[in-house]
Amino acid sequence: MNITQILFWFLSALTVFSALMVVVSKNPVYSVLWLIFTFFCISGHYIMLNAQFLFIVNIIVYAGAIMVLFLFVIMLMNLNQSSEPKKHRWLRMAGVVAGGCLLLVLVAALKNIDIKKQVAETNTGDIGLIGNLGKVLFNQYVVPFEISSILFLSAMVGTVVIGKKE
Amino acid sequence: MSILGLTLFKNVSYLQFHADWISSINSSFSIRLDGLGQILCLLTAVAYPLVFISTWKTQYKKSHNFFALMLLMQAGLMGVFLAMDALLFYFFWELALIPAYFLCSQWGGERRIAVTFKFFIYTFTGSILMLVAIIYTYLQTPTHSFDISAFYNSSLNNSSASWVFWLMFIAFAIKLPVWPLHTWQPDTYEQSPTAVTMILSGVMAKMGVLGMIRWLMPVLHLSFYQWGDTVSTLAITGMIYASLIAIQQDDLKRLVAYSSMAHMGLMCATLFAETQSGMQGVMIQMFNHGINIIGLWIVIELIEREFGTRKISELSGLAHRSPAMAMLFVVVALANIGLPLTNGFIGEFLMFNGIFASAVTKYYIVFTVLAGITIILAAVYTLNMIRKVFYGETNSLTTAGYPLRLNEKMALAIIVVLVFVIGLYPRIFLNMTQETSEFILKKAGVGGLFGQ
Amino acid sequence: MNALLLTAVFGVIMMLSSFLLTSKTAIRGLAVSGMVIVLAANVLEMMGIVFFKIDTKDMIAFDRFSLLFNSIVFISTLVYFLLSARDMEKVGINYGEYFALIFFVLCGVTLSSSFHSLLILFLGIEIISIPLYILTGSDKRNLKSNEASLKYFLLGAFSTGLMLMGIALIYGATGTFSTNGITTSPTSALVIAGMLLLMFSMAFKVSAAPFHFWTPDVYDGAPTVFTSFMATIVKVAAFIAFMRLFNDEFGSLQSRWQLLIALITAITLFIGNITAVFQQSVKRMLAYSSISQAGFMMMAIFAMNADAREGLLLYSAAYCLATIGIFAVLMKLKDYSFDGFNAFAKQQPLLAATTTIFLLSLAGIPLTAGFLSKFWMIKAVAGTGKYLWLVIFAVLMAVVSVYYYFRVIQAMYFKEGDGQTIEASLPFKWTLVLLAGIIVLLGVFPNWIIYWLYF
Repeated sequence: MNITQILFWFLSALTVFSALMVVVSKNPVYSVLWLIFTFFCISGHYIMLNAQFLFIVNIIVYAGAIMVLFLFVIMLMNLNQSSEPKKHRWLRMAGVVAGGCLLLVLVAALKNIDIKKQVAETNTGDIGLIGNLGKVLFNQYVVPFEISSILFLSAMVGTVVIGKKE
Repeated sequence: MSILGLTLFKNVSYLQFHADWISSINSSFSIRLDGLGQILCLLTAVAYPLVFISTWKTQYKKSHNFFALMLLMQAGLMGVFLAMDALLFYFFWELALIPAYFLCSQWGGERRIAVTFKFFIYTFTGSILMLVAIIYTYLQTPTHSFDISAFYNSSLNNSSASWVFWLMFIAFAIKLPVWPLHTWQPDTYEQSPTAVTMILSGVMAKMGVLGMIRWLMPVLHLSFYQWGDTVSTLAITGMIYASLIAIQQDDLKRLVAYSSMAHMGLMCATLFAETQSGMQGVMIQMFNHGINIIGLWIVIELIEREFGTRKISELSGLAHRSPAMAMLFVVVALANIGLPLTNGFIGEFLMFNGIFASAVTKYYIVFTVLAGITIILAAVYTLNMIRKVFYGETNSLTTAGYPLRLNEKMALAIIVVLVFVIGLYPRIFLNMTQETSEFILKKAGVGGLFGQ
Repeated sequence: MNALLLTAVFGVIMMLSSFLLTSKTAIRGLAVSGMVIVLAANVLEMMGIVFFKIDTKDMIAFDRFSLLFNSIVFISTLVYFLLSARDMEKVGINYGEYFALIFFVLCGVTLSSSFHSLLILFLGIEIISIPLYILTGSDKRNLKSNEASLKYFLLGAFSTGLMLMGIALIYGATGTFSTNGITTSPTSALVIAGMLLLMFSMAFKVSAAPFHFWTPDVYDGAPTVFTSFMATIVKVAAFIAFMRLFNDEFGSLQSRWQLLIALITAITLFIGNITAVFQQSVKRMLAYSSISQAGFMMMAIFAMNADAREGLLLYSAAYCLATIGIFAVLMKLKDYSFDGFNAFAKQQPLLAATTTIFLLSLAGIPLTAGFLSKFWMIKAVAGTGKYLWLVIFAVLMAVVSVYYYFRVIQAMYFKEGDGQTIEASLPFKWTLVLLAGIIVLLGVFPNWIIYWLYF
């Protein structure tokens, strides 16, 4: 077991643990902080896959911008123990049943299939380098890239519609 | 009226028309006039003028809509009788139903909306099940075509043929109606405007019989044979049930409705006996029953209009003041129960003969006897009704009497003439139906199976 | 390709028009003419004339099926503009932006009907969804509209998440985004899991049970004029995407998903129809009716044969046109309950007659397009030779649907009442009559659509 593998397992364990903590934490602010920690762990994986661009973007966009937004909203809403809505017991049961059904369907679909041993290519690929990524994005994937501009444009128009004073 | 003329003209000769319609699924606009279609088109063509003549004086709100819908229904009925393409058949089947729904809901009696809706849901359920059966059979035809000749060659295996048979049978049985799918019928006949009731009972009910003869018997002949006893039992149960209820009825309209159900049940039972004479009897009886029942409705309509009631218990002694009406009505009513010399006798005799001679069922004697009982029951309730309504002392309601109007006289006179013409000289109709019934029985395979 | 670019361009033009043009009539005229141009360009492309030749690296494939579907959608939208564009004025002040958003949605529709890559599918679905969240909440002072928008957004985002997860798993298993079909055998766990996730998210988008819970609230809360758009054009677009996805990518795995889709179909039919029976508001009834119609369209996904493709196109046309017509009439009324339709035939005989035709078409009565589309669906499922209980169940549910559609007809024709006075302009009436005419003609000559699919 070389150093990369040790790092991989360590990071993976940390990711799963912190992701669990997001769900388990009672305090929403802690949840968000754990979520930031999870993103950092995932960014660590990107580094190991030799994808520096994704690493940077993940930290800037997710761990940075989006999480700040999350925190902001949570603090504005001033959530705490007392203001948490009481959920009905049956409602919880319904949630468990619904989630359980999904699990059941997935397990039923997967039960006959053997999982092939697929190993992540750590420290070898160079597709994640910024230069290569740019080439792929503007050659192979230029059409979806351009089309996504329509998506953003429509979102912007929407923001104006919702936000403008009447 | 010009349309009526045209339809009369149509009956003159064998006609065929064929045009591509939805070519991608091999459905064509194909109509042909065979003996069966001929007799039923004749019925439609006779029934419509009778209905319009007899209700000449009736005022309808928005009468233009009324007559438009009536004629649209006629188009649907004619289409059903002529269509030789299963999908086209289904189209016309529904085309006849939709105007009926609007006619009854708009111009009917007090409880019309609920009652008509029940009628509509019933028949629509039946017809859409029939659609499934049609599509399934279509997929099993060698050439993937909706044409009737392709349907003859469909290769259904035994189990699927069985349930296709039942899907189709339910649709036809609802139209007839066959017990236990009859519950819409008395209410609808009672609540509909009389002109529509005449068409519903006189002509539309025949759609079911036609469906059985043309689309069930030759196409699904094995199931037809397999389930024959079951269906005959249902039909005969229904006959006895309807006759017994008719005896109890105090309402003239409901009485006629139940008697109609009993007669249609006999036709159904006869069909499943699969004999030549029975088949011809059914075809002739369809015509007879159609005009007879229209005659009955005409009289009931004018009794209700003039005396303000349909209750047998409130009427009495009509014959004293309006002998013409009484005479004509009695003739039609006796024809309806099949007295010799009348048209009903010819039809019923042939049908009983057919059931008794049946080679496809072991229980033919039981069926004949039970069906015979219903004839006696029919005589009981009909004569009872005539006695109470037309004879006896006149009461406060009926002292005024009522002389028939010219148009009513005309309509009833035509019917009475037809009653006697067919009763005395049935050969025209026998010739008309012979070829078709032979053809269908051959397709149904009776001859081959039993060496007749 | 013509339509894709032109819809985007017209989206931008409409966006600019909102501050360049002051008159609402001018904006409306621009939108309608834009729609005509888009439609014409698409028809030209069907005839082989392409304005823009762009190498999409095999990510978008404009075949006959998608082009024909696009034409159906554009015609429906054109009709929708003609009938209902005036009613958008009442929603809010951003008249031009509403049109811009609708054009963007159409752009998404073109993408999701012709994608050949999972990426494009995702983009298409998102471009459809995001403007819709906005349109749902565009009646800002109405609390119900706000609630509907938020609900739609949260649930929609969740289902998009599922879809992305599914796409990622598929990519992980196959190493490609393009939908050439799964060929690896034995089928890996990733493929199955990804397929299921995609199925669930698509079922959400088409509001198939048990993923339908958002539908009644959102359709009811949204301004009626946009409900009309969402319930028709957007829904059938999602169906086309669903069909393409499961035909192209997962066609080889049909035996694995068929039972699941059959169950979804049955549940959708059951819940949609049975719940619709108990509604008191016509608008809410139409929301449930859209679920039940979705159940019928799911039968095409289930069968996935040539009949199913033809049938889905016919169904799209029949369902869109009829529902747009009913909504257009509904919008003119003040009272949306069933009683609001009482004696409507006396007040507006022409409108009542056309509405009757639309309702008959939805109920699947012969001589209307609705019948033939249901016919095609039944034929498609019967043609697979499996699960015939589904066919019987579906037709019985169709009978149930007759109940609530006919309630409106009964109210219009046979019930007594004052009848609401509504103002309907002459062009409005004529457009409705034209629409009813198209529905009846399609009900007699379905070849007009199917012909285009093959020649």
